[in-house]
Amino acid sequence: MIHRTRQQTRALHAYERVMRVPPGERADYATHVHALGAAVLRNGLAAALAFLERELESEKAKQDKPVGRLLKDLADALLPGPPRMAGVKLPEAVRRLEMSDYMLATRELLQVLVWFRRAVQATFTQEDRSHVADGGR
Amino acid sequence: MSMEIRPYLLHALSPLHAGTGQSVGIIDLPIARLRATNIPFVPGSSLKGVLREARRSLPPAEWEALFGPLREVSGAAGDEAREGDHAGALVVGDARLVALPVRSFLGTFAWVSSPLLLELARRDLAGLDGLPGRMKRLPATGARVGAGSITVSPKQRRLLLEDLDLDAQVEPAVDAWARFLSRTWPEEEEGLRERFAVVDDETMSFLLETATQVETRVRIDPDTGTVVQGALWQEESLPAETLLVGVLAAGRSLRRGTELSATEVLERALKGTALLQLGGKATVGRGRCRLAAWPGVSREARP
Repeated sequence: MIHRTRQQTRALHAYERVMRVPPGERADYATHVHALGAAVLRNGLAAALAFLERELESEKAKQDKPVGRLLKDLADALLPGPPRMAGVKLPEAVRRLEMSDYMLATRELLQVLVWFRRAVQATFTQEDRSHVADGGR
Repeated sequence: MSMEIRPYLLHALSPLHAGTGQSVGIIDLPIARLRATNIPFVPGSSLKGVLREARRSLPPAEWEALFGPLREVSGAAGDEAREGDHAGALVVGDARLVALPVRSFLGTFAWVSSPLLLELARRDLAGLDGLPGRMKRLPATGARVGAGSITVSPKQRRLLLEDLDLDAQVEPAVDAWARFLSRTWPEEEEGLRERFAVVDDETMSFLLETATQVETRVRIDPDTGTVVQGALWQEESLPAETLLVGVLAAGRSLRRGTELSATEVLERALKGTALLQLGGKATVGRGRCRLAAWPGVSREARP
């Protein structure tokens, strides 16, 4: 068995999933990756995911589904707390968590999102992530 | 050499951005945190620089005795011994978080601390009269409040913080800490006693990560009136009302021809320091702070 640091594991997962995003979904996917971390910090994990859940509804009629993809990618990141393979049901799974698991899931998701953000910045072209900052000012 | 020690309380009156520069994390411009504990802090070097500027009205020889001679070149390149070189007599320690204001369903907000934060503060405050005893670690998720707390629901005895509902018990030591911290303020403020709460260390770790202030900022292109491409960033600050504790220390003046005792050094450093501007983003209102030292000094010998 290969032993890796938690950061390596998160990085491998994020890069692998980000590279799978088809060109047509990249701009929206990048926007949501960029905004989600700050939304979790400002509003809490459940509220931030509920916002994505609402976006899912408007995605139903579209061919490209970046929000559904992002929720699945996050759910597969082996967050402590929500059951594995929650997929687009991640927001619902998070709402049901016991408080200590909720706090743990929040902190882990923030760590995972750091790698998703790095992967997006490293992988997508400038056009794909036109709404995303390249860093602080 | 004998040093005199004056612990101080730093009270953020506006959001405080003591940053670490650009990051590749969730937040583009995060605040400084201690490496092992993730506790936010204001570096002593930041406070020393502010005090140095605030004390410009001192006679130049005394000013140099307190803060040391300015280097001709900043940074590592300027760190070379020169004729007449000497260390400053004032030592400014980091200010470490002791209570974080957190949104509360009752009482608007609570000043939230934890046994770990208070134990670390106790080390800095050792020797001061009236320092409360050690706060026991909370065995499970929950909170301790003082009698008459306005942040706890009277029926359920729960502290309702942001998303977290915590069972709360009354603990006299919480009152003792609130009174001790507010002794540094011009008038002891009832508000701190009414809102001070101690939560378990795990919950505090969560709040340290999630209860800071995060703002999204943009830069506008003056020609188009729209956001410049890529000029959107996230900035983190300690919220207004945050409380931090640190230590000022002083020895006698080491400047040739300028005799100042340790007591005189501290008096000159602290005179009129009620309001200071600390950290970055001052032009957008960040970093207005109140600094006050506890009355009384303690001494320690240093080799």
